[in-house]
Amino acid sequence: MISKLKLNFSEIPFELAGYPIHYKVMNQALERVVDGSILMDSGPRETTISLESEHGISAGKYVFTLLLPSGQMLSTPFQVEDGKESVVNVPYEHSPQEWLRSQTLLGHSLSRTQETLALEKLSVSVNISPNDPALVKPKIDFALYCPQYTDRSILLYKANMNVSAMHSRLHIVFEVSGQDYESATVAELKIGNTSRTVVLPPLSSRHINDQLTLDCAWSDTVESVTDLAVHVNMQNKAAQALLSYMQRGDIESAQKVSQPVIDEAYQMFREKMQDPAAACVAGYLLTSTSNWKHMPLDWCSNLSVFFPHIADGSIINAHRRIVDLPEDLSPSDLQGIADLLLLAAERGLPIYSAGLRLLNDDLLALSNSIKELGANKSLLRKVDLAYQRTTSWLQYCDFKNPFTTLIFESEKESRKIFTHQK
Amino acid sequence: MTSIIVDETVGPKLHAFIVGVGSYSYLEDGSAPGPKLPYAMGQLEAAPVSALSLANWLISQYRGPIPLGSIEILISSTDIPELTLKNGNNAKIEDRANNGQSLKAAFKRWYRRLNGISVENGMETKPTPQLEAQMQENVALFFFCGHGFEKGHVHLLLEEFGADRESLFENSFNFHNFYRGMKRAKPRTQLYFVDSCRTVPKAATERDTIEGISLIDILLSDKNDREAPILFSTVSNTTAWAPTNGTATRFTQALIACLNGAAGDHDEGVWQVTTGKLVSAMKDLLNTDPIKGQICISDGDRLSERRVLCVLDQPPTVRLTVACRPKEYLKKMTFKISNSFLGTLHERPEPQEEPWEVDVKAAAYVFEASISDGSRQIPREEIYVFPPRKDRTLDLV
Repeated sequence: MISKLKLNFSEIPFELAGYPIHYKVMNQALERVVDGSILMDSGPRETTISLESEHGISAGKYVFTLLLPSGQMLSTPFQVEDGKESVVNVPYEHSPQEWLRSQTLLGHSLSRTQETLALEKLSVSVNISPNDPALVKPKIDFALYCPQYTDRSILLYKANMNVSAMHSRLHIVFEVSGQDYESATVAELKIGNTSRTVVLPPLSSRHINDQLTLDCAWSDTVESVTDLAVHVNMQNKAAQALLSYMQRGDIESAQKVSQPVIDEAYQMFREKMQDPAAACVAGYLLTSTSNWKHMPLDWCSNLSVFFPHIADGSIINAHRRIVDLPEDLSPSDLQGIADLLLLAAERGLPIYSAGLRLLNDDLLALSNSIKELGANKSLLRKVDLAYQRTTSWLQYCDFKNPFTTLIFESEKESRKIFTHQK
Repeated sequence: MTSIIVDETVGPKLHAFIVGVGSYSYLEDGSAPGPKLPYAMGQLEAAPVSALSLANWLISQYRGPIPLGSIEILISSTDIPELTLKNGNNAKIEDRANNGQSLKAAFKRWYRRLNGISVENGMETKPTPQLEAQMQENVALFFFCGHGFEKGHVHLLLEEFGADRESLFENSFNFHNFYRGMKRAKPRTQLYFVDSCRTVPKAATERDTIEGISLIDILLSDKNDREAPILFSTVSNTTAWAPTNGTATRFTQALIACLNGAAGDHDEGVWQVTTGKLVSAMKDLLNTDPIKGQICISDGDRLSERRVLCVLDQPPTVRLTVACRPKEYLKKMTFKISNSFLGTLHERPEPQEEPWEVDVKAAAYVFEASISDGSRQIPREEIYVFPPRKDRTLDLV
């Protein structure tokens, strides 16, 4: 006999679309008899769960529990009658406990002294098994994570994998798509105990069905992630080109078409709301060519404020403020810059390796400047901690890759930087 | 003697700081007693040769919009090398790049010259605002050839690297922090050339932090919108190779070739080497046919890319390479290029198996190729031979 449980969800915020909600059905002895998860869509929604007798469900009283994205646990009693449908109404409310849920889930505090970045798993890992297994030895694992705690729910990327041969090399290509326009993600590739984490930019809302590809060039000689050539490709080809200029130090090539490149960067920076990842690329290019007039202070501030889950915005904002500092620094100048840089360090790994270097440099400059002006010991301690933290990231960073890429030769090394939450 | 003062007159100058470390006492085959460090790093014959080559070129051949002011030079070598000055005298390079003390002292002298800081009775005197403004027109040139590695930042190793195994990196310096700190220096044009490995040795992976010598602190108040390209001889995490036949490194040879004209640009009737063209020509020369995957890469702060570094008194010499596809045709081909205005003619009248390589003055030429058995006619064409190199491959398929 199959009974049905109908769930009526109230309005679900758009940003929670794709979020999995876990549920349990317990009997009167509080033994779990059914569990599972429902992938949310935005807006009001009805979902029906089948309660089959083989689950041990028979007519009687049960408790339905649901872990809401708000962090609240909803428990609703309901009654099962043979062959009939029971109904549970599920309200959605933002909860003051949301921030607590994030920390509980990720297992670390909000303290700036936090030494490791928590990574929350966003999707299942993909074990590569191409058509010809002989081509991929040893095995490569792929997973996506969120690089830091968030004060709201995390959206899912969808990852597809395909294997193709190009120019006599095997390419393992991960296509990452979804609806996340606001936060960075960490992709982790593992071969044996070695791992490579690549920070992926958020998708662009300017491009319909925007997606990223992670292209791993594979050959017979690959035995660890250090042998693997990995390229991240964005659909925004203009941003990718600017990134490529910067990465190769090829500003002179860019200067051949000088004004168009700067204009392109300026335009990208202006359109940050549609494509924050491209805006950050533009910000770094304008910074490296000292084009300060193309980086109005309020735009830099907006890039930081509107995208709290992207460290790059706050790095660019802080650096832009530093440029405008007076020659004779006051304690309040230092405090202002410290607030911005500490915020940037707290937001976790930047998307771009240029940003990681800039953040590290600016933290060191701030630390030295605080010492020179006469110690504000408590501020100095916080800045030095943040500097140590970014230095530890820097030491594993592969600067050949424009997207922040950390390479670990062992799990022990990886644990110095990341705490994995699965 | 490490300071070669060439010109002390008033006005902007080029001041160079050149470091070449070939002898490493505590690495393989080093002169220090006892076991050596097991990091697969040994002595570098080419490093002092490279440093001296550049210094000699600056003294004898440099011709720029501003004169050469000074060369601060440290060489760690098995002998005491000498530089030939413009007046024909020789100057012994006795100071070595052995440790932080010698490096800091040399850096300080260079830095003061760049910024117009004088020393009286042991006290530094800041320049007047007028002199300070003038110092902005100076050009700073830094060149390092020796061992290096990268772990987050590029670290460059001095002769006594590894003297204290407990403090392994005390005789190394963090190039990146030095570069950032130089933002405080007045010159708005700064050039940095780093010819060293950028791999991560085991010694570095085992340590969480690597401090090394600090030459200059980075401060928030450092402001200089500078044109300051860095040219690294190799990309991150890769090795730079040094020759063992007594010559300078390929990177140094390319640098000197570029300054001599391979990075020449023709602007308003004058041949000159600009910052942007120097960077692109270096990469063009070194990366077109890289050796063992060593790729030259640039980095650093950039502005206009158009600061003039050298002025050439005649069109530069450019290597023209003519090949064809399929290459079997070369065996029966002859080539000729001519410029009637310049009155120049270069030709290869006898067929050979290899591509034709010829050094010619940068100009437009009429190019003629013919096949000796007359089986095909190849039309004449005009080719532009322009620095840093010109490759022409005839498609005869």
